[in-house]
Amino acid sequence: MKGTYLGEFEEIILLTAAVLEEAYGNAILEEIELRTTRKVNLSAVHSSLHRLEKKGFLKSRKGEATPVRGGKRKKYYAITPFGVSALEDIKKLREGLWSSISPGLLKKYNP
Amino acid sequence: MTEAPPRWITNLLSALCPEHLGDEIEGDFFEHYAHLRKNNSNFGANRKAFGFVLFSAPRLLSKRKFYLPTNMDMIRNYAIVAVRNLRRQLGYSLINIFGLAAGLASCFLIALYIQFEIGYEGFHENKDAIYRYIPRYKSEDGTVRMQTWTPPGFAPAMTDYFPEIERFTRYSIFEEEPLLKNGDVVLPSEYLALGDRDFFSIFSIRLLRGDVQKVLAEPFSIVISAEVANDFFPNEDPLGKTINFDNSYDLTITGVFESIPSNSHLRFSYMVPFETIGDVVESQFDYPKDQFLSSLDSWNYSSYFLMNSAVVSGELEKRIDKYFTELRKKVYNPDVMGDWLQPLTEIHFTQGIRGDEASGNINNIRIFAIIAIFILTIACFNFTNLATARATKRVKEVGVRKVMGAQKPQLVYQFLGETILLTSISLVFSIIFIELALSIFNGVMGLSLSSSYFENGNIVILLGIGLLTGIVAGVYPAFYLSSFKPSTVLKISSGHSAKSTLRQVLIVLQFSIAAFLIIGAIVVSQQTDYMNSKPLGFDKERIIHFSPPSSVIDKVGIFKDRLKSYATVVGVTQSNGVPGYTSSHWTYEIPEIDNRMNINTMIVDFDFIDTYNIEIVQGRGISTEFATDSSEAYMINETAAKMLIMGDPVGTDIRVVSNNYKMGKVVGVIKDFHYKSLHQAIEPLVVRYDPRNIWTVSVKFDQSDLQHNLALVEEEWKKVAPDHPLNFEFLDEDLKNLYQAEQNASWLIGMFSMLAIIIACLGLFGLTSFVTEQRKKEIGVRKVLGASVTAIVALLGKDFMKLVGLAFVISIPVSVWVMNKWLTDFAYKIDISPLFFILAGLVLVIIALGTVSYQSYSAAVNNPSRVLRE
Repeated sequence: MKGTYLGEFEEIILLTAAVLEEAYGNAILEEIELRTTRKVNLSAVHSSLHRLEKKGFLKSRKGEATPVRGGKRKKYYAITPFGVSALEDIKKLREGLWSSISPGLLKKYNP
Repeated sequence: MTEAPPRWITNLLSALCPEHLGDEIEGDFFEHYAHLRKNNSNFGANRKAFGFVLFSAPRLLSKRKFYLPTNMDMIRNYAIVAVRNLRRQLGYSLINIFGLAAGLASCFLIALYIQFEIGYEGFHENKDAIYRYIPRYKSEDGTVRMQTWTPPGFAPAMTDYFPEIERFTRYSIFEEEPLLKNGDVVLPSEYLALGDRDFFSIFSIRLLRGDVQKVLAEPFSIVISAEVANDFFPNEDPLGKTINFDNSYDLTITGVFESIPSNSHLRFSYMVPFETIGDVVESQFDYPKDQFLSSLDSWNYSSYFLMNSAVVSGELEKRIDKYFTELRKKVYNPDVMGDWLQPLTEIHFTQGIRGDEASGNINNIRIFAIIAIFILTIACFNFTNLATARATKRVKEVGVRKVMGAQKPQLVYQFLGETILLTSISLVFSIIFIELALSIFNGVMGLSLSSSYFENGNIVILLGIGLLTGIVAGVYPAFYLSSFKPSTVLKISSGHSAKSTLRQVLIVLQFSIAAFLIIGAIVVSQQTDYMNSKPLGFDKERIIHFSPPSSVIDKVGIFKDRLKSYATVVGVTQSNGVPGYTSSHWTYEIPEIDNRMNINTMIVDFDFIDTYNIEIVQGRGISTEFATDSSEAYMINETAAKMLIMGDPVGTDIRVVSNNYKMGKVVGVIKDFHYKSLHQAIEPLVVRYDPRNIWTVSVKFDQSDLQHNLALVEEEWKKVAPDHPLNFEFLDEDLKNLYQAEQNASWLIGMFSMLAIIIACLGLFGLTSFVTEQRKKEIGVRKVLGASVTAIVALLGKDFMKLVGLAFVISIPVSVWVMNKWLTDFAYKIDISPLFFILAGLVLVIIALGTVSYQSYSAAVNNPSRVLRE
């Protein structure tokens, strides 16, 4: 499973890419900042996207050029079935872990 | 409207950004910047954006992909394509290879020669601190007179007086070769030199045997060269052996020196202590030895000083000059041009010093260097021209390569690489050329250069020239070829137009150079012919001369009388040298003009004027009929009569400044003759009788069989001097040697101009055949429509011939200017005549026309039906 390991930040990127219809660097960045209110670096987003694409979780296509981007084309990312199954694996793992926590403990800290 | 980031930041980013990520990252960065601007000031946004770019830089750079041509597959492909192209167009390749190889070989040969010439005296460790003293003054007509001769007492006196001078040595070659004998074996006595005891510590001539300080310390010692030691003392230790000098003294061998490198002005096979000349003078002239050695009168010896420091100021020259002048009890005038301390390294290239043997000619070196560059340039242009003209054959390849993703720099490297491959092949051929040409070159130039590639950085020179040539020749075609746009070259099937201004300019340049070299070769050879054939004012044909050793000089009288009795001997005479080589000059006193002066002098016997057939224009020649002629009669030449004496020259009082000479009179004026080489204008000359100084015997024959006459002389000589072999020389051949430098230059320029025109024509041949090939359809159509062969040849040739004509016109003013400069070295010279240009033009046009029409003719006689059907 080493090659398909997903870090926390990568997981968020992958999820955001799955949420957005037209996912490209800036859109993902804005979405994450919006949802998490944490500061994200654009170059960190880019390098994660490239890494995820290389691992096969994401695929990309070239988009249209707009004057806003100085005439450069966007690169849209979309999640692959492999990416979906990886996310599901993680979700299952977490749900399993959640369900194994004793209900009393949760109540105690989260009344 | 969103804000775009400042240009400098986007430029920086795109410079850093890997190309395959460019769109994504740069585009996102644009948007990101707009976002930043919303929340920040202009400055703040820029600062953050810059920080962003800066911090991303390492990762961006690490993602860059480098397309270096170090990829083995591509290199293999380049090599295959290069070799295929060389082979497919073998003719063009050979033209290029031959041209470049010839150019490289001539460059290397000339580089060897220049290296040899400027390396003169380079082997002396003290070369920067050694100076030769040159007495110098400006004569009334403004010419600077310099001589190597100083009196024997000069150098020791100066060394005692001036603390700046560390050591001195006097140096001179015995002009009248004494008889040297080892037992009964006669040693060759050329190059017997005199030197002081410090000679071998001043000059770095290595001693194989003997101690540097001691070899010349004792009187009657002699140091011999390794060659003499090998030839005459083989398998034995020469030290302590004796060599007999003129049957008078035994000289003990105290040392053996290694052969002197040939690029030195010092040339001797034996060296004896300078004091020896004092002994010779004492025994022959009864002149006290010590008085002679400290004399300030007999100006016959060079003086060299080793200075404390390398830098010698003009101020020291002036002080030496002043002290020396005052020692001679004369008044020193600081304003006139004074004497000169000549640095050792300048000796080879300073001309016009009397007493110096043929020295180097910096002009010739410049000329040769320029010629070498010219030839290489022509070869380079050939390459450039042929490569650009044949671009059609390569444009498809360039197009396909570009479509497949080749970058322009890759293509430039590829084509440059091909040029360098071609140059490397040429280098191999050039080494063959060098090996073939070197012995011829050495033979003609009288040199002994060796092509030892691994010495003196020769291999570096050769490779350096090769690489430079490759780059110069290849850089333009490489950029030209790699600049084609694939969209154009792949669409158009007919190929590229072959017209190019650059190509025309290069052809004009090539042929200008060739024309210039041809004109130069004609001028130089005409000047050499002129010098060899100019009437000199004396007979030089059928005259032999030789210098008997002084031990048998008293027997020459008998020999002369015997020879005179033969009908085939026109004359026999003795003199202090032969005309053409006179270098003697004495100080004379002419009371009428109240002045003492140095005048060139020929000392002769009574038969000289008749034997050499010198014309007397006024008065009479010296003759045995007048008893007083042996001590009181002087002849002067016309120039002396004109320049020195106001009235009627005959009868003017004149005498040699010396106690041994009585006041005499001028008895006759002789017509000016060239007693020196034609480099120098005729100067005043005194011809007088003196039996003591006439070492050279000249014999003139009539028209009858030369071999018989020579046998006659040998036979008679054997009768008077049986143990001295007769080493005679022919005067006319000797006189030719005076112009050896010009003869060499003439040969070299001739050869190289031929090479230049061959290479230029090869290039022209390549170009015409290419153009003809391109236009063969057009030629076919023209023939079908009724054009004649002549018309077609003219059509194809006229473009090129226009260029050749233009080149010739350009070369005329340049060559007139340059050749006139060259001719200023000669006192007697030809005028540059229009005939030279007509001749050069004819040669050029005929060769070029032949080259051009050969191709166009063969195209013109082709059957048009065959061409058109293709």
